[in-house]
Amino acid sequence: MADSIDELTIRREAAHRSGDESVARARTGEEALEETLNDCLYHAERRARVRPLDDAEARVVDWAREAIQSRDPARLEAATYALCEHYASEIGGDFNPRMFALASWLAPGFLSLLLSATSLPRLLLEGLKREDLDRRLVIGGAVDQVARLARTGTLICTPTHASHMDSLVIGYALQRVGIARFVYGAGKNLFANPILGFFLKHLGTYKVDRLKAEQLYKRTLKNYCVATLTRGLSNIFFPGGTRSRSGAIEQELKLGLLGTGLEAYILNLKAHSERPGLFIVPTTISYHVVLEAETLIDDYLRDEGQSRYIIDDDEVSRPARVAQFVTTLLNMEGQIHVRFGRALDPFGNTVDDEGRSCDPHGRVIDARRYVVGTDGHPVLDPARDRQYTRELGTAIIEGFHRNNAVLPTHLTCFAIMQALAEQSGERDLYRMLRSRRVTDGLDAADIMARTERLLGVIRQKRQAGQLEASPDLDGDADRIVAAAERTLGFYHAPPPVERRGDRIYVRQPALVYYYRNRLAGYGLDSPAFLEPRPRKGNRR
Amino acid sequence: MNPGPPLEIAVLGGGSWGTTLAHLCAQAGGRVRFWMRDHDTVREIREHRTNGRYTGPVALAPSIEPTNDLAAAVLGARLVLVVVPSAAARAVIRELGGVVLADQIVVHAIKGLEEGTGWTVSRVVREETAIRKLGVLSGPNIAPEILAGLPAATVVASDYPEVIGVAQGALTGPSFRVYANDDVIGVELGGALKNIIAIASGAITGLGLGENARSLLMTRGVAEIARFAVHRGARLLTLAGLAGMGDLVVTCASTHSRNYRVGLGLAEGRLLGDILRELGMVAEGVRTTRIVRTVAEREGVYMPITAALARVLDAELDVQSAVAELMARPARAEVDGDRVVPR
Repeated sequence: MADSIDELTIRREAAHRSGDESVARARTGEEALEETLNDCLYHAERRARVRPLDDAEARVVDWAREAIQSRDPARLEAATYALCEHYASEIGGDFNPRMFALASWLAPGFLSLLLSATSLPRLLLEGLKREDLDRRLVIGGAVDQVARLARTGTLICTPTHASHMDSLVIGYALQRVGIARFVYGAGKNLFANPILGFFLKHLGTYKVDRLKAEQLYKRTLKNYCVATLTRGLSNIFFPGGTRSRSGAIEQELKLGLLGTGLEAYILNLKAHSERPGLFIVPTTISYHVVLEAETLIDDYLRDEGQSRYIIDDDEVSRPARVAQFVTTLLNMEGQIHVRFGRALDPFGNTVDDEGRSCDPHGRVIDARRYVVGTDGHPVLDPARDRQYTRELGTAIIEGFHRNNAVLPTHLTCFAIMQALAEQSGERDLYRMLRSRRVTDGLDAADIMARTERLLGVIRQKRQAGQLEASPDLDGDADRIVAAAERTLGFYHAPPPVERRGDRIYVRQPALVYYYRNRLAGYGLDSPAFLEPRPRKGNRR
Repeated sequence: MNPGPPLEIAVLGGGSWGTTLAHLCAQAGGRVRFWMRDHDTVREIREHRTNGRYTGPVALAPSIEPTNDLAAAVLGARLVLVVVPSAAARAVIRELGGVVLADQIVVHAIKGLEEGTGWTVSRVVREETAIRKLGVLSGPNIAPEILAGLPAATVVASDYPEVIGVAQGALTGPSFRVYANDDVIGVELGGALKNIIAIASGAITGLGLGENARSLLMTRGVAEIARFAVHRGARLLTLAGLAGMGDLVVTCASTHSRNYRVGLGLAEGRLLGDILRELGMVAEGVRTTRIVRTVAEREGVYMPITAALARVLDAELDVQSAVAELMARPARAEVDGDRVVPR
């Protein structure tokens, strides 16, 4: 099965299907091949102005140009397939399914590798054992279901995305629940990163070039995913597409990649596959402090037009910051929480432990019928399938909210921002973050009272299954606020929150806002102007 | 016109609109199974081809098969039309969820909201069932006129093109047109909220306040409806279409409209309970007014006409005083760009 699959067949299938789709679109008059190729040329030329195309790409782009000039249908088709093959080989790159047995790489603990890369003697001396790591990572939620479903079908793990650490954390978590084989895509820019690139090259990651905006490339990328899924290889998708800038849980998802699950499911049914099931697992990763928090919130708070879709100069490329983050992780009592939500089918229904789709009352339904055509056979239907995927997206976001592990830093920062919003008298986020209240400090007793109140609401919501609270929230408000202050201050300098006597000073309001946002979208008492807004469109 | 086997259709709900839709579908060539709870009505339709209580002496198409068995009605249907009163919607939909299959198409024609939550029916469907191929049908459709074969049109909204296509095929006839929309929530709210304004319109006519007043009520009414609908995610232009302004115009002018007749009764100073008893049918607008008033207050949507009418319905205010209060409010900008929610 998976072991006998080699990268070449996946690559080849992705290229063929993309080529076939393009030719089919040309036949139905949706888009002529000239247009498809022109789109590729246009984007290639734009990119060439920034960095020259490599030889292989330059060659296929030349073919495409000549094919357009020749107007010869056969040459147009050939150039289209050639481009698809080029894209597919680029995406596949270092990916090798035989090598993606993450376990062998993770056995000594990925963080110890990370640490050697940062060459921090003190940490090396302490030594990082597997047990340390196990203690630092709490895995909860539908763990048993995930393990069972991985045996009966193909999983797509869809985590919240806050940090580049997520790939490593989720990979490790999946491995610990017994899923050693999976694939995921990572931005091409990350491969150039001195720390992350090291892992990515060895973990069986395929490459996503987010600078390539041409439709044919996106089609090939999509088909690459589909090809891995139809071969039963579980995938990790970050459905938000990029790290959350505001710190909030994703409110909008990228549906293109998400839709590959449904497409693979339909293809499985058409091929009468023995394991047609595709299960989507909304997963949350919660950190007390986030490695790249400063860069991310800074990017969020820039003028709309200036914020970036790709950031390549953040904390993850600064070894000292990574080391400080790891030190914080090891020295604080807090842990990283990974929670698997209940698995979903590609239509957004929950599935039971046997992988059968259920309606909201738990009644088992036959999900295959969603995709049958009038003749009773499964069929792809892009307009219909887009809508199904939208419904899946809504269900994933619900799963995120239900499984979000609330930590002391989130709760404390929420209480502080609530107080700041009320007492600054401002109605505008930016003005509030710069208000005098920030320097004058806030009444500590008031913050405690707010924290206590919010704690009550959060416990109620937890009872109702609307969110998760970490055990760190079991104490009283005093302990929670103190823990948050300590953790934030250990990693971030200057300390974002500082208590002196009966005052609490906000030294880094933007960071406090960032951690507060993890509790946005729950209808907790807070003025509307504090609510983070989703970013519009694909920005670079 | 429609070759191949006839379309299998289930119509759930034996009121006047359900009966009308069943008749329309049958006339357009469909095979209709017509479900209702009332055993006597099933027998009446089977034996006499009439539903006297709701559609009088109109002879219903022979291909309509009445039944009390929901599962049997839904089995094998390509299209399921749900046309029950909004108060019964959740229970019927939950039952439907237990028998419907994932490839069956469900379109509801319920012009009302759920008590307490204020949700539209599509939201209830999502909460109760695994149905995905869902649509809503709404528009200026007075049942007796349609049964008489007079020309009319409606809107079917869905996120799924297939739903719209099948509903169009099932209902379109020489004197009935079906327009498409993809703004489900907009079409649902247009149909539900216009009933509020219809009651108010009946009251204004009953008081003899004239045509200017009625036009004023209708245009400010649609502004208020749009404000609420956009707040809930609807597109503004949907409210200018058949399911919005279109439906409002007809319900505010037609003496057929039950909600309008409620308003007339209120203007005569009669008690709501007496009016409803005499009507003998559900007037959705009464429920909707109370629900929308509560939700709008909770969510901060400005709806002065709805709020005033709710107080009249609860006998906190008489109609004359309500009109006086509405007229005495400070006038503000009529149109403020695309923004319908005043700050």
